[in-house]
Amino acid sequence: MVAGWAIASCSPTSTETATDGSSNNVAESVSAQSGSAEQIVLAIGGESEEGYDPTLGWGRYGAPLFQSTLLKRDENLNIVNDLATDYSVSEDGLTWTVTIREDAVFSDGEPLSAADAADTFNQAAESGGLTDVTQLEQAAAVDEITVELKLKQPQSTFVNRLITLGIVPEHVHDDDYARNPIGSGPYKLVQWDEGQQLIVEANPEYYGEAPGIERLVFLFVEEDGAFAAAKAGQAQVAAVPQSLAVQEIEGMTLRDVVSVDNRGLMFPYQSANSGTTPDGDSIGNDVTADLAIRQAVNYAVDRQALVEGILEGYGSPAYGPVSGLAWEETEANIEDAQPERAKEILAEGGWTDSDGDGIVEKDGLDAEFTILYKADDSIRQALALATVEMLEPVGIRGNVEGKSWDDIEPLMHSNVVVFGWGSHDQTEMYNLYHSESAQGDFYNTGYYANEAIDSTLDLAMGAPSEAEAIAYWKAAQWDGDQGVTTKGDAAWAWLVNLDHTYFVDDCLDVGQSQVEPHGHGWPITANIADWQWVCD
Amino acid sequence: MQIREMRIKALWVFVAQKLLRLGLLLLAVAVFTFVLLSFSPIDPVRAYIGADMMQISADQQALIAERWGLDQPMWGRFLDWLGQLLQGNMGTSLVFNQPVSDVIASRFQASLQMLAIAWLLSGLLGLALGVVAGTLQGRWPDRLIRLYAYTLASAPTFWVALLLLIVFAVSFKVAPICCAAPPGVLAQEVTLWQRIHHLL
Repeated sequence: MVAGWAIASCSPTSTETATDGSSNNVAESVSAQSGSAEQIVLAIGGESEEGYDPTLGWGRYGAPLFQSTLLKRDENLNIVNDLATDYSVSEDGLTWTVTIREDAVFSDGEPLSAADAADTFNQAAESGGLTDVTQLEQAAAVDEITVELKLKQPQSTFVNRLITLGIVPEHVHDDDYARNPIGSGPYKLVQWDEGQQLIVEANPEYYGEAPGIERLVFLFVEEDGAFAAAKAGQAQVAAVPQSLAVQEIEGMTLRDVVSVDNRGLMFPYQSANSGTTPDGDSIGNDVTADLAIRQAVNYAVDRQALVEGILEGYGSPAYGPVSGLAWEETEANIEDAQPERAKEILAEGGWTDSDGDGIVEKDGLDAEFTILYKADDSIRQALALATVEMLEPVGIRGNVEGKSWDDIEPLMHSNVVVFGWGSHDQTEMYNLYHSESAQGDFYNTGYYANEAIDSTLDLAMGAPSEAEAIAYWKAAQWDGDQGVTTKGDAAWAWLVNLDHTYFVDDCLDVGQSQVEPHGHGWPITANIADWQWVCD
Repeated sequence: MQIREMRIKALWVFVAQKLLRLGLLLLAVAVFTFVLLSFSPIDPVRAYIGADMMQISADQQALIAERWGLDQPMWGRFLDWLGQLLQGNMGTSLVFNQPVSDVIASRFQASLQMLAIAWLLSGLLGLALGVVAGTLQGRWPDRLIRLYAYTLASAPTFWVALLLLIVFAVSFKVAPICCAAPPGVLAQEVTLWQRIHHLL
């Protein structure tokens, strides 16, 4: 019994990583149990088992903590300078020139120069990690403060690499770097007990305003553990699932952050027997290849009811892939929960219930399809089941099946699948809808293909800046005539965006949060250097 | 004299045979694991990328495969691994991006401590309770101990652990909620008492 208890309460690892002698005084004066301006404890997950090397993908969302980036997104997702003082893109979109500030210093005291920035980008372009810099031809430092990034092809979304890629010091960036990160960010690593906790402390060399909280302790526990830690008063911020958000914790307030962490139904767009994927899996589905079916599903579903019933109200309806982001086309939104409208669409499309079995048919084909979902995901399961209930009255039959991703993969080009995405990087939208993205994997699984949309997406990708690309990203959703959303091709039936729910200590002001991407937990740290402790 | 020498010789042959058998068995297990994993439908690159799938291009996926040597044929990878192992290099963990020997070493320590304590306590407690129950067979202490034993035997450990955690850590706040040391305390400052407290 004792052994069982011990295993559950303690993750059995203890590695002491980097320690710093200067931090002892703070640790001694602070009680580990309650928060203060000196220290808070966060149970929001987000441990990077690979370590903290930006060229392997660390910092691709949330705060990189230890490093700083050339640009960043503010709370409204506008692009603002961080290390950069200015940047420009050449007319052909191939050369990005960035000037960087002169006062930035790494936490080991060495100054940060354009050579470090160039080296970071060159390393990231070659490293097999979770940041994709493959479009970079070559980065070079022009002088001490100017770095020039040459691309293979114009890519408006490349700006997201300037936003997420923390600059690493060329002089210490070796194999040990991921466990001993040194950077110019607001915090520096003190200790990392793998599988247990990460302790960081304000970096005195940071060029920006000193962070409001001196010391941060990240506890790496499961969601239940996070809730328990908050309830016991041992954590000041805890990421909890929606199902636990309805609980109450004394001294803490529930903060629900809007996200683009979406869930939706992907429709196979091609008719059955449209060939096979490179792996030999069949493509297409005769029922969902019909526009009337896809639009009817979109109109029949009551998204607000899904939010209330399944997400306990912690969510919002989704009508497209980029809800709440600056490049969302809100004109694409529809009035849903309209079974009558759905029936009209079906009738106009030639779907009628001639044999009286409650299911409409066309040319002898019943309006019936299978909805697949990842079996261990209760939210996806509930969404699939609830949607099927809502489709029944309009004469469409859905059969729900839970499977593992390995079992779903061969079936996902010919069956409806509940997917979840959501990113601040528009590359995602390109890969969801561009016909050339469909290669038999998770990109454009439904083999959606519309030449007009393809060229709009290409224009967006090829635009020299995000500001210019946004018009095209919006047009691809709905331009009044065509689009990937319901009024156009209805390639998907997007259902909901999940709010990310956190318990936050009443004494902690976490400022204004961004619309968070897919991934509950770490994204709340995006503005962590601005957090303030407001009690004495 | 001769008989003794023969005995020693027989012993050596026996040990050598056993060692050879162990080596062959390990080799067979390694080959089997390798082949099985290679044919498994799970793509390690995809598993690594997870929800970032849409931002990672095919080119980048190829870079990841290259970093892990997955672009090499199966037998090439196996021989490479075997060769490195014979030279004492256990390789690098894909998950932890760290030498495998380091990963094992760091985790072994904490597990060993807990194992030792659990074994010691179960030995002491078990023996004591067993003796008490045996001496007072049929009386109420025996029944109580038996009830306790049956409950534990029939309840899943993780569930019992969760209950204990709720009672002692959340309600009474006497036990820690997590980890081998108090949150936020540096390794060199963790006291012996705190270590014992957290081992619980």
